[in-house]
Amino acid sequence: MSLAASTQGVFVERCAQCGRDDLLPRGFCARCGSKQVAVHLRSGRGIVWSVTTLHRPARTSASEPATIALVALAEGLRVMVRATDGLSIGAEVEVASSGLGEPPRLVGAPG
Amino acid sequence: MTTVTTPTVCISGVGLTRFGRIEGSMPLALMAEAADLALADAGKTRAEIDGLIVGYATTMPHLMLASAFAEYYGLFPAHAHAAHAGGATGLLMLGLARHLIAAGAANEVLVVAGENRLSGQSTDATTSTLSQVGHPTLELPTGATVPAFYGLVAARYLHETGCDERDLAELAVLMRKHASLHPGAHLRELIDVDAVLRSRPIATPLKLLDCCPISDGAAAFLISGGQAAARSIAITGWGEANTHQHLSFAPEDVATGARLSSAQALKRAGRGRSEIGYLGIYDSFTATLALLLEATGFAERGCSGRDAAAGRFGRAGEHPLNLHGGLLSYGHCGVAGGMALAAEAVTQLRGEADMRQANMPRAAFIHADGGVLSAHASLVLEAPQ
Repeated sequence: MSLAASTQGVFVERCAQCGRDDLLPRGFCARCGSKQVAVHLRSGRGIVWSVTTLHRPARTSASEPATIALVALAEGLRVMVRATDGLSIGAEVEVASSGLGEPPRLVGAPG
Repeated sequence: MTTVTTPTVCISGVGLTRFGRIEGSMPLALMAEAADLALADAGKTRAEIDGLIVGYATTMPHLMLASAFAEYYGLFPAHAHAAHAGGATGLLMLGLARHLIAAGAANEVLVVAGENRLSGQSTDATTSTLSQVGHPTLELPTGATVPAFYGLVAARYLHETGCDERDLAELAVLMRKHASLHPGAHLRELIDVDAVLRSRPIATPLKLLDCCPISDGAAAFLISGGQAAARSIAITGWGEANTHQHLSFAPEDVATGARLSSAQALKRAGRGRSEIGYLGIYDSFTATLALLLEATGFAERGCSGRDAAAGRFGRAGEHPLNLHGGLLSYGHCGVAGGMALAAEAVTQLRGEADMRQANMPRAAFIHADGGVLSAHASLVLEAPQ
């Protein structure tokens, strides 16, 4: 399932049995094993758990450093995204993905 | 009163090559060199080996690396397999060898790993291969590599503890100080905190000297059942834990696996931390070492760097640590990097560490992790009573 890039929110697989959200499309819940899972679009608001500037990033022909953040979504999911310089641990941000299993990206300015 | 005890399984032989640039080296030949040293150390022959466990080599991806090595070296073991658990593999293999013997499934197990990771492929190729520990769709698209994952872990550690980069640098300084006394170490030139802080940034807050080098090298152990020989070192405790693969899925306390694994190993050995006279702790990065020292209970939260500066982990300290120089300075050639932690522990317990010798430790605790603090293995080793 894919939506336009401007859709706000993060696609997750939600377990109907135990309520766990996961970013990966598995077809089952990794916590309780239930197969009663379905795609949900949930809020992408979260807090920066950590951030680093990588001086030799992979997958790029550019030689500039890349800033990478790990964002904890409000309900305990973590999302890894590219970020701009100057982002601090603890900053409130928003991320979005365009489909279940698609790499998420940072869309909101830090709070 | 009679007590039922688990059988004593011992490390009877150790082989460790120098780590560094070994031009023209190849994985099988490196492994053979380490195996020769281990067999000679144990006074055993190829014919006596009935079990073989080989660690993976990124420069020689193979479906059946243990069979390939057995054929190359001239072994016909009843049991042979190759193990893959990232940086935890070395200690994991030692634990498995112990279990094979304790179960009566083997008598003499050779554990070996070796890789020409420095001279056999480019840094970029190594970095790319090791990035398998990043998730292909959820992490790698950001351009992240292993240093980035550990940069994230390190930044979080500094944030949570209030430590700064100088605290991490103390660990790099200590490892280099220890390596300067080991003729086999990759990096031996002394450094100070300022040198670490000036070294080029890799993934903030980690700089070049916060990171272990890429090295060529190999290590081997012979694990034996039956009567312990004079220089045998007993494996008295083991522990393991697996909490995640990718950093995005790590528990909130990312080093949870180390807490679980170390507690198991010490409990099985029936030893408290105050009885441990030597530590071998995985130090892929300074931050890894700090997190693992603290999660395994050998330093208070946020105190690793301070304790290192105060001499607590030195040769004459309360808990001598990685006296060969660790991965950070003895070097890191893959699976054998973790095995080198155990090799130095055995040498220390035997009292054969020359200028590096700590004051006759009786028991050693060793811990290694694979992935991004994903897989963990711990061991307790003890000198004969």
